[in-house]
Amino acid sequence: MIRIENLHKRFDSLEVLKGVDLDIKQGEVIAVIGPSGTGKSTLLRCINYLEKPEKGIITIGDVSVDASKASKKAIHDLRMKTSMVFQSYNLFKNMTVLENVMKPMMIVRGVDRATAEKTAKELLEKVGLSDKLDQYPSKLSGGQQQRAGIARALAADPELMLFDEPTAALDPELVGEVLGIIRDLANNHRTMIIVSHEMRFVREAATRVIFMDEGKIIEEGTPEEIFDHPKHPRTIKFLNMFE
Amino acid sequence: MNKTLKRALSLMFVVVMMASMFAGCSAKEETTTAATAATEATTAATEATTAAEPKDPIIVACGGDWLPYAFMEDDKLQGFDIDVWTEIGVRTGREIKFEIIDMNGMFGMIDADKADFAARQITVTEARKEKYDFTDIYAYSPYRITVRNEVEDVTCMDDLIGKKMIYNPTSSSGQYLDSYDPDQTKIERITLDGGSAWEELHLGRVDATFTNYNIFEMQRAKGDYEVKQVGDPVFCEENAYPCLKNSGREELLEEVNAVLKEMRADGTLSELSIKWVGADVTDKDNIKIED
Amino acid sequence: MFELDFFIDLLFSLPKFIPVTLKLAFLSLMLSLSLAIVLAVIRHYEVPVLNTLTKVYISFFRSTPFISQLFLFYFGLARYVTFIRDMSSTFALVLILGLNTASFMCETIRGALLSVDKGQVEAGHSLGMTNLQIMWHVILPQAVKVAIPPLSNNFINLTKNTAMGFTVGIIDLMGKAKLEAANSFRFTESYLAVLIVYWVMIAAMTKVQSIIEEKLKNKY
Repeated sequence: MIRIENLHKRFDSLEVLKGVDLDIKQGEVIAVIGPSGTGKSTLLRCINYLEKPEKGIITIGDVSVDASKASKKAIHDLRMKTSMVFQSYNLFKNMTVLENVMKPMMIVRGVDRATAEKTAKELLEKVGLSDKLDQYPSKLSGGQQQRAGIARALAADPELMLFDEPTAALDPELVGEVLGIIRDLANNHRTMIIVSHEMRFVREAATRVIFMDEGKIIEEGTPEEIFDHPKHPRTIKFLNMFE
Repeated sequence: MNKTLKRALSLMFVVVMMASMFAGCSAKEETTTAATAATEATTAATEATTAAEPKDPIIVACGGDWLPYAFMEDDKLQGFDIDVWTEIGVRTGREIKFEIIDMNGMFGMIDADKADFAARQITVTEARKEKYDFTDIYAYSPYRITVRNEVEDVTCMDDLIGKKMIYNPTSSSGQYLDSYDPDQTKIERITLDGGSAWEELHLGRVDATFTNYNIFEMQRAKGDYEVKQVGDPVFCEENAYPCLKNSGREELLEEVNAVLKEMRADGTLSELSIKWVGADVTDKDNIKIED
Repeated sequence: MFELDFFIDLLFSLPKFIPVTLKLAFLSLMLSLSLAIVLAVIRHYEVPVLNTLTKVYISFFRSTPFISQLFLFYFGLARYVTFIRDMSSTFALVLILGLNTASFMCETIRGALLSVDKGQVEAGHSLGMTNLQIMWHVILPQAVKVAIPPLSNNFINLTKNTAMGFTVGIIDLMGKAKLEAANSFRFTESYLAVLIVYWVMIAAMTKVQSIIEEKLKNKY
């Protein structure tokens, strides 16, 4: 059970999240859409405490963190339950593709080398990078790097996966291969929150769509409800831009 | 975060410990062949006199660059001062440890309590007497004006008015220049650290300097300098060995002085002087100026 | 008259003192590098209290001449602190040179740490890695590559600074040259010879630096 309660986040004098509530069931694929700068990424980054919220409670399974008394251990436990795929991939540049996926398992969860290697290779095969195991990120295309990033995030075996605009930095011809992977994960009932502008993909892959504007959730529903029958004027205005 | 710090700090601690071990071990290997040779000679001599209980060694700081008092040849530290101290070591039954250091560092070592005495034809001056106790005088060094060979019109200090000279405030030369020209109006002074007054004179960067009559020709010939001494001696150094005042060395000083008296009485001091300087400079009256 | 014989003899006898200089240099380097890493990490994470102390330390050692630092320590403090008085000149030189160079190396390392993009740090955090783990597995390996050229320069300066050794009684390469010059009155020959020896020695060190940089370049 994943719950976000009354999440508030401000940067200096600007309040970016003004009280966000969200319940997520296992296996749901939540897509967050909305105009730029409305707090979508911030929402994601507060869930794994890359940003520290001012107020709010985040609960994932048996771990619950209240912003007013968030201890280092609690934050760590929360992060162990999640993993993130970044817009700029953020692979570890000093490690090969295989090491990027293997090492975090060994370092963070103490998995032994043999098991970690085996798991990593399986995951990398899933994302179609079996022939690039010993390459360094600097030698890969954006799409390949992102796929590696997804494999790395999967290796953490998270209860919740966070995708922060995963294809926004990719050349158009590479977007498809990454979306394909993410769609597979969705079909396999991975619990995910995806922030994206790829509306067609959102429509096909998401189980629930959330429209955010100015730090609040304005409207949410199934893809059909949001795309075909939007109710709120701002939702309508936003979606019109994509016609 | 604390773990990072602890890890790094303990790493650093280990490294510093290792470094100090290395430094400590190597400090013993540190003594140059010259110093080892000198101390070996002393120890052998000391053993010969069979001292009942080992006494503390005497540490003597020397510049190692002043022919013929304390200099290096073929990597061996030798000279008048070196032999005098070696003999003192024999007669007092103490080991002599010579520390070769850049000449400016000799007094620094005494001040820092790292050396007992300094040896390098050092002069007794009023200023130094305020901080240091000196042994009895063991040698005299008359200093004369020195100019380049082609200079004909200089025979006394007044002939140098308006000219340039080397100035080292703490030395006997400096002390004399201060007494001759206290307002610094007559002579233009050039200070020097690390260079050679001989070179400066030879090259013409200064017009005159003061040199020790006793060893003038010895040093001049070595460097093949085209300079000469002129006029009567302007001052005469009294050479002795300084040690730090009020540092508990009063007894040691007495011991050394007793031995120096012996050496003077039985002619050893004069012998060593003739051996190294070429003449007996241990007695002021014995020194005759011959051009 | 330039005495060629003397010059050539010296050119071949001076290298005997290279080990002294190198020993001083490497011992100082060990101290300097390990201390610099500690200080860089303190500065990087702005550890309270220690950060301020480190800034003062760095300012002092970077802004004052090395020789004055050495003299204050070896001659100035020795009077009042028994531990310093009994210290060997080698230990003193290595210590002060290490402390001095650490202040420069710290800034070099700090710059190198900053050169690793924050995104990788965030990725590490998102996977549950601690700051220490990220520093060790991700930042330091990448920072090292960036840091090698400027650190090598710091090391070369450190090596040149060992030439102060004779002022505290260590007969290193420069000390030997000074003694030879003074005792032989052959200043030109002596100083030219020692300069050539230093030149060759440090050129060799620079070559090693290039090799290391080459090896690291191809990796990532």
